[in-house]
Amino acid sequence: MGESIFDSVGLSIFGGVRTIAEGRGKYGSTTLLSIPGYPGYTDATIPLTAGRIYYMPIYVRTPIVIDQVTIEVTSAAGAGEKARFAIYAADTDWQPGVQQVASAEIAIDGVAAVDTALTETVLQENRYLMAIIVEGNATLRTLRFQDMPMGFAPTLGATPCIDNLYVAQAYGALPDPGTAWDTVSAGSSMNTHCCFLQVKTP
Amino acid sequence: MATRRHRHIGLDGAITELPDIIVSDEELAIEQERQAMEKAGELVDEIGNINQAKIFLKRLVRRLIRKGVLP
Repeated sequence: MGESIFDSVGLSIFGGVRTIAEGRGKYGSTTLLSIPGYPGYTDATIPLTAGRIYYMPIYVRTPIVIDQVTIEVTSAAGAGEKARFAIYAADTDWQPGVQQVASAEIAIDGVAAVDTALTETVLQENRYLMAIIVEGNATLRTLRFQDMPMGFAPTLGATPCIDNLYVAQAYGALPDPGTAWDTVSAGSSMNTHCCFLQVKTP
Repeated sequence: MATRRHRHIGLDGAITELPDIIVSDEELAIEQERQAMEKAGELVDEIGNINQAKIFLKRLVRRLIRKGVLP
């Protein structure tokens, strides 16, 4: 009674009610440390480097319908340069799997708040990774928080918080399924979140 | 008071310029303070790195002296 059993796909069965395993960040042979359920945020900006897919972990607790993503460009890219956005389902290593939705190209060549329509998409209760790639370097508004135990640098130290997950990729359509992130940056703040969703149906 | 540009991009990629967002003096002040704090944080990180480098170099020099590499 009250015993947790994990099945082969990382689900747990607790008292007859199925839940989704929180998972923990892992890339290659490196497992990130975790403190389950630890939240918190600070606001800042994040300079995005062209030629990388940046991933942002989120956990959807109940099914929702989304129809827009918003970013705020605080330092613009070059004239005509754009960004692309997508959402992937994530496995228990917090690595991307099937693409759920992708946006049209987003203009980032001007300092502005930019709302980009998304095809209405249902996100079920699950782990997801929001992804963004920029054609030219730009700085975006960001909140830094860690809703789920995404992880901390295995070496701890004064800067243990994983703030960015990314993989090198030339600018273009975001792949489906997603490309595994293989690089982390650690700091004293938490995961970078620079993409904000509009939930049409909560 | 200031304004922030606001754009909308449709499913087809079409860009529409929306009315500017009005930024209050309070938000402006918060933004300036945040930028100052970020810059201060960068400087602290830089100083921390320099201090760590100094400690490393001192230890290295002592080790090289003990091994007779340095006089």
